[in-house]
Amino acid sequence: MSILGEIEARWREGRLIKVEPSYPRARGAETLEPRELYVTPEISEFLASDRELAVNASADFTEFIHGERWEASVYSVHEFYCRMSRLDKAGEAVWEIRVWDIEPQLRFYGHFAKRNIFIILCGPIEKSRSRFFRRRIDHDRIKQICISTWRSMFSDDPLAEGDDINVYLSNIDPA
Amino acid sequence: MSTFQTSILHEIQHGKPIPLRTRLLYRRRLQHRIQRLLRKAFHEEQKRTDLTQKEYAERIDKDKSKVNRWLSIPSNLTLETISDLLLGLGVDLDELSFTPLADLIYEADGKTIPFDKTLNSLNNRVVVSNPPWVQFAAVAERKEREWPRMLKPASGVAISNTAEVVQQQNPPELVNVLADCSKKKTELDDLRARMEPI
Repeated sequence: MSILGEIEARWREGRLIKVEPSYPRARGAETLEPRELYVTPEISEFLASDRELAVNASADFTEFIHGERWEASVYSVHEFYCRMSRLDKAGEAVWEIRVWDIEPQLRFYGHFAKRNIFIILCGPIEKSRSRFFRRRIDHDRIKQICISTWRSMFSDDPLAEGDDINVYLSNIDPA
Repeated sequence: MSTFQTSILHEIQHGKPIPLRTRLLYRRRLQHRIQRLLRKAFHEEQKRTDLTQKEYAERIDKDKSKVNRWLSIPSNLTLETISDLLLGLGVDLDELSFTPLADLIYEADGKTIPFDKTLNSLNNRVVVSNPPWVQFAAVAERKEREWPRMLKPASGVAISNTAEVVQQQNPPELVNVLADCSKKKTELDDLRARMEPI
C-alpha cells in the first residue's frame, strides 16, 4: 500500500485526524499549492480547545494548509526566526514546528510523508520565552517517540531526501 | 468547508456574538498577513539596495532583534509600529479593500451560495444562488481586473488596455483564457440585464 493509502487507512481508523483550515484563504491566495496536515487524536483535541495557545497553533496550521509562504529550514541555525526546521540528521527526518509569539511558545514534532504532507506525532511541548523558566527540550526522547509512532502506523519510511528544502515543502521562505 | 467555518457564517449572519476563539483566530490571521507583507517589502528593498536588518532597525530607531522578530513571525503590532516599518522601507500600502467573508468561505468550498442565505448583516446586500458558470465568470472578471497589475509591460510601452498587453507579452494560452473570460463576462452582463430585482 502506498503511503497515501496508509494515511487514509489510519485516518479511517481514527488514529490520525486531518486538520481542516480554521478560516478561508485570503483573496488572491487561490493559486497557492495547498498542503496537508495530520495529527494524532490527542493533538487534535488540544487544537480544538479554547486556550489562546491552541487557537494560535490552529491559525498557524491553517496558514500551513493554505500553502502560504512558510519560513522553514533543514538546518538548525537561521538568520530569521523559523517556523519549521529539521532536527539534526537527515536520516531521522524528524521536523519541528514552532508556534511563536505567545507565552509559552509551542513545539510540535513529526515527519513528512510526502512533499507538502506532514504528520504531527508529538506535541505540544511548551517552551517559555523567558530564559529563567526555560527548560531544555529532550529532542532525543522526542525523536524516539516520533520514530516509534511512525513505525507503528506506516510500513514506508518518512520522506528523507537530502538537504534541499524544496523537496519537502512548496512556497518556502528560507530562514 | 469545515463545520467551524459554517458556524462562523452562522454567527455573523444572525448577528450573534462572535466567540472569543473565532476572534482570536482572525486576529492571528491578520497578524500573519501583515507579517508576510512586511517581509516581502523588506526582501524587495534588500534586493534593490542591499539593506541589512541592522540598517533598517537604525532607520526607524528600533532594536535589531525586534525588527528581526517582526519580519519573521506574526506579532500583535501596533499601527504605529506598522507605519514605522513601512516608512523605513520607503513603501506605502496600496488602497485597502475588503471582501465579504461568506464569499471566501463558499468559494473555498467550490459551492454556490445557497438561495436561502441572506447575508444582509454581513455585507449589506442579498446574495442569490448562482449557477457555477456565473460564479466562474465572476472570478474571471476579477482576474481580468487583476491581470494588468500582475503583468509587467516592456519598458517604454504604455498600457492602453489589458488585451493589448496580454497579446504582446504572454503565451497564446493566456490570450485564449482572457478571450474565454471576456465571453463569459458578456454572458454574465446579459444575464444581469435580464434578472429582475429582488
